[in-house]
Amino acid sequence: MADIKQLQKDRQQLFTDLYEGRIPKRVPIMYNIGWEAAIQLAGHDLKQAQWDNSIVYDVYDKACSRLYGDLAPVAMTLRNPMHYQMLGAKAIIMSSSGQMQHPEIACLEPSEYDEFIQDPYKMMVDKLLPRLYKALDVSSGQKALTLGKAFKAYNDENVFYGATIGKIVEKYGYATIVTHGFGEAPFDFLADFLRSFSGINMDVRRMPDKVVEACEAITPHMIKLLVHMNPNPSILKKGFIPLHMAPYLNNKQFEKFYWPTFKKVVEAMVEAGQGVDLFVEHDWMRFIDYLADLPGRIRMRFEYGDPKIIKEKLQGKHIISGLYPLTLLKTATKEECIDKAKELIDILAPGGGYMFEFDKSALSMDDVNIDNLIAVTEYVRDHAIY
Amino acid sequence: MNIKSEYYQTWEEYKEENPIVSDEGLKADKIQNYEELMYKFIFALFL
Repeated sequence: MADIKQLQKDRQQLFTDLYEGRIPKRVPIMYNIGWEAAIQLAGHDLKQAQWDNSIVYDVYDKACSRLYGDLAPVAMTLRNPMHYQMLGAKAIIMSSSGQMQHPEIACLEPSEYDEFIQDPYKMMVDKLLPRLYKALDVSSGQKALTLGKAFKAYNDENVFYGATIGKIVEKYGYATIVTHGFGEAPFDFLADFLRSFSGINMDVRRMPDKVVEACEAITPHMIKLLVHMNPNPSILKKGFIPLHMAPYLNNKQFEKFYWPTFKKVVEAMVEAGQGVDLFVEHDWMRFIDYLADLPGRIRMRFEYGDPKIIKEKLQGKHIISGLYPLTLLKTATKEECIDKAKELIDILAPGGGYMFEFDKSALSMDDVNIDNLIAVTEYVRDHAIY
Repeated sequence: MNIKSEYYQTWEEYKEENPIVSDEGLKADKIQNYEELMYKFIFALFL
């Protein structure tokens, strides 16, 4: 037990050094496989296990006993089906194989921008929720009852999963970086569930001023979710923001619609002392100078891009992770996989500011060769030492 | 930058409508926490 406590302390120190701008003893390893992949790895039937929280500990335990990570290498489910089912969700649905999916959907009509801008939260509750969740498209009494049940289920499941992860963290001596809020860039929030990928791409051409106003109306809500709802902020607690739409915008659109309000959200987080954790999805190389210009010491997980240019542009100011192509674990030999890790470590590790992570999380065990994943992470653990 | 919404009530607004409560008797953070949890849940349904 004393060894586990020491291991946990040592691992925590890796991240403390990294986030506070010191060179850690070795490159910290932070990655996770998705909840669905972990269920498969543990040998459970995916579709049944999604509903059954009695298997949660077993899923974590089996994955953690095989995979090396300095943080728990399994993602907590973001899409527990319980409350989505109770609400009759159209935007998050389970596939025939048991994967939770987000189909393209819009709930805000172009003609409704003004009403949304006036009071986004009110409109979400009154009009948009019933369009996304058909069990809320009922009388006000039924709506209240259904929402109450789903709210209870959502919180109960979160508490249960959180408690289970706590036991696993102690058993395996993992470090922890507490999640302190989840939000989006205002433009991404508008695009994701409200206007859809195709809808927002029409709006930026047909009604650009309304899009700008809507992003500005969303901004204080994202700041509330990522800053005001999180007491005792710390750079070691992460407010998580996955970035979606920027690579699909041209430079002028990015500057007009995406960057100003996103920057305000990040500035508010940094000013409050809150850690910022960005998943820089797809290829942001056109916008790397903007990212470099952000304040604070932000963890940026890159999906694609040139690691040499990213390292050069960020100049040790921010923390780089990602860039290791998950697909390689499926298609390459063990030696080729390890060579890729060496290549990235050689470029990104010098001077610190780097943690090892794959470019994306495995959503299914079909995405990876587990032996290659183990070989790569153990190589980093044993060789990426400063 | 604080939010303003007809559907979101601050502790100060709540006390004005419910003068029987006080900061001492019913802790602001306890009652306000339910407002915050519901707000967070509603947004989670759009994230």
